[in-house]
Amino acid sequence: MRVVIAEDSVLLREGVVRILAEAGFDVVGQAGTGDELMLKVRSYSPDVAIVDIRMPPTHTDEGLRAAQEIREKHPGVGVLVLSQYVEPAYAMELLAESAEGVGYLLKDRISDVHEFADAVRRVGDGGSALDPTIVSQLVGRRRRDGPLDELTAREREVLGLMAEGRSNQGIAERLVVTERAVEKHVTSIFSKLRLPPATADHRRVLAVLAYLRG
Amino acid sequence: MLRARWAILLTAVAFTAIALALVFTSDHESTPAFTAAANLIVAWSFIACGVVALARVSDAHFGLLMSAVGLTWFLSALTESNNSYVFSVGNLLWGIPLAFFIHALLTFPRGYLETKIVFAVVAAAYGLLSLAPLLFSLFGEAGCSDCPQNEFVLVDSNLATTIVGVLFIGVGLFVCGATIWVLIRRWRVASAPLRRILTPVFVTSATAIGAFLLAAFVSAVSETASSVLWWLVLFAVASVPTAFLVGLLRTRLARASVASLVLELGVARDPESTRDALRKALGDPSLNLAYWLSDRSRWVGVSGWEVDLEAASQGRRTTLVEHDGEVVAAFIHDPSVDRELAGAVSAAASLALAREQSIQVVRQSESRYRALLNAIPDLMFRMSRDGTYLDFKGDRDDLAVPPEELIGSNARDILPVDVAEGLLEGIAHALDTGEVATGEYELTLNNVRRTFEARIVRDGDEAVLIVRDISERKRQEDELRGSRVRLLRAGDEARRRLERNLHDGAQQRLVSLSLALRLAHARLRDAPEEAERLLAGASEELAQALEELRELARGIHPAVLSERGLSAALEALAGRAPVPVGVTVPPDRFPPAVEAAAYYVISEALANVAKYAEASAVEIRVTRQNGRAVVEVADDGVGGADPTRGSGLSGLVDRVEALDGVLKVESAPGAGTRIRAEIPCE
Repeated sequence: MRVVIAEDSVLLREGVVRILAEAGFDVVGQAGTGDELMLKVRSYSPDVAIVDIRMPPTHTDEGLRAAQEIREKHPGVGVLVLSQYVEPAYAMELLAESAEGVGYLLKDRISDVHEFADAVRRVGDGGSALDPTIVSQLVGRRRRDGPLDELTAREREVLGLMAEGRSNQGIAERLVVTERAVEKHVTSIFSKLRLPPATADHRRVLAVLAYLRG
Repeated sequence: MLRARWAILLTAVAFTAIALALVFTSDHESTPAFTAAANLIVAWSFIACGVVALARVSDAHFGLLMSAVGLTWFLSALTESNNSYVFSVGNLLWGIPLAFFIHALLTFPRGYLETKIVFAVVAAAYGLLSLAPLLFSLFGEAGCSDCPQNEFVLVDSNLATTIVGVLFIGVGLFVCGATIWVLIRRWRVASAPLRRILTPVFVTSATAIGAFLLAAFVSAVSETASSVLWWLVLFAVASVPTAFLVGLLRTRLARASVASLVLELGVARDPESTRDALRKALGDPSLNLAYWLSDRSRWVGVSGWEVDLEAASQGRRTTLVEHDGEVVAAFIHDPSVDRELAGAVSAAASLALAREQSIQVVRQSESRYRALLNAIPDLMFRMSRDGTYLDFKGDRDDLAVPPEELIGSNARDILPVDVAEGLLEGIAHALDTGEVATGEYELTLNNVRRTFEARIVRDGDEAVLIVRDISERKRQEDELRGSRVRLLRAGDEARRRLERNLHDGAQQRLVSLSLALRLAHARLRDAPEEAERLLAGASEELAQALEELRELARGIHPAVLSERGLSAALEALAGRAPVPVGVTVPPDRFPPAVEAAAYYVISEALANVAKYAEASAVEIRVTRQNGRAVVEVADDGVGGADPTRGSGLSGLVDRVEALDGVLKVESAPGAGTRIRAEIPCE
């Protein structure tokens, strides 16, 4: 899987490159700014672009804007945005229209190499990867009573993993249950929340997030 | 008009000659000299009156009528003719001058017939006085034995003559009565100057008409008595034009008073005496004066109040007074006042009124300045060099002693020594150098400590003090200073807390991490399992450190607030709150400082909710109202929060007030807490 990485901190960039190379990815380009990133994406047509949210010159949200541009101009390229901290508002911006081939993770997640590689792969395959912090914020958000209260603890767990963008298989592995059991939970969740069933994982993400956001 | 007057005079002279010839050749006139003299007096007095009246355009119509009376009066001379036809025609025409006379009388002094009723009376008079002689001539001989024969007689019937006589007297009484009624009515509504003109005319006319009626009545009874009465009528009639002339001349004679007016105006000291002099000169006690203030485009009366000239002129006449080609004043007077006289008075008074007008202008601006002065809330004092109060403007509450005791008192006696000394020093400085001296002092008035600021200005050898109560400003300044200090302290406190958190948290973890890594490094070969355990622990420690740093950074300033605004920042804040939070925020941006203040108000309020409120729900509303951001945070908890205690809320008050905003906390026990901040956005 071909990867382009944009990160202005050279040390961190090298670290990520090494981790990705070890995990079997083909890092085809590295960039330190948004413009450079666009150039690399145009030139190498990667499967995934990993983008730091803060880059020169303003160190605010260049990565986010670059990500939007890539999704617009190169729909086949997945974008995984990394950030020192995560904001639900940014997540919603990224996922505004589609959760296909999008990821938004805390930089901390890099240290869990297996999880990180999995997320990159999901995004590269057109799936999604949303940071658990955001998901837990959304799920844990206090609401005046609603159908969310009717979910069992396990169902809530499954709901959260769905929102992170995991497939049924991924959820099953994570919870150490059978895929069949996960399917049952998913059906139950969708009926309790009165959501129409969604087949593709990234569509499922969007439906769940929209629901959680209220 | 001059030609008309000459024509009348020449005709009159010719008529006089003819009449004299007729009278003195008459064979049926027993007293030619007396008759001629009496009738000439009557005729010429009317003609003279008419010619005088004709000299003035406004009286021309009246003059013509009077002249007509005089000229037609000569027609009676025809009855002196010895020729029977001339005699008979003369007998037909004796009523004409009387009709003209009634007409003239009823047009006086306006020159026209005012109403339809008056017009009808005049028409009736003409009808009666032209028909009656004809009827008399048709039914009877003339009254004297040696007169020529009446050529127009149809039937010499005593009965018919009597019937005509009764009819004539009846209708004549009616016409005379109506004329007198019109005159009385006119008299009653007349103004004083008009009455003065009407009086002689009406008295003589009434006498003449009365005598005429009496004569007509008596003639039916006794010939001798009536002939005496007819003479009386003749003289009464002759006196009427004299009376008319007196009335007309009275207005002209008044012009003589213009000269004395000028003298009186010369000594008039105020608008009131000027007005009285004008009243006297025009003989109109209802006259009023108005001065034109050109700079303000309005009229003011004698007393200085604004006058609506148009309304005041209703049914009256206004004469403008000009000086150097500019209107300076106007007087509003009775319409009967002679125009020319009014014009003459206006010209004579122009200088005096121009002076009065400028006095009025000054008075007006003076009262304007006074109003301006009174609108200034400052206290003002006029003081002498030695500190004696000479005059003041201000409220009782702002004075150290009651106002009635202030003037004449010395500052040393009523103010604390240091304040009095300071004031005297300031006064001396202002008087000596002409510079404005300023200073502040404090006084305790009615047990309230107040701060005043004085500006001392020289005015001749006296000082004017303008004193302003600046207690409120002082208080605000103190408060501002206080809140600035608190903000600084809060900033220091926040930095100290940050330092402590970094020191106790992330730094400690990094130190222990460094230790763990060294240990792991040392054990890597000898005890790889222990090294692995150490590394796993280090990794955990590192994650904790990162999490803490993240939280710290967010506490200092959430990046999303500056990058995406309040709406995005509040979403994260609400998501972490331990109770359900409803958020309503406009999607557009506020200025950064306003957003930050609003964010911290909400953040602090939510922290308080979590700590104390025991609430089940919170509502956050941010709205834009009249250029202000209005932030409201309301919970349904236990209430009882006090913004003056606990640094959290008072810190918020300072933060909001630093932006000229206001923060209010409503927190009655048991009723939840509602925090409302209003922050100007401009």
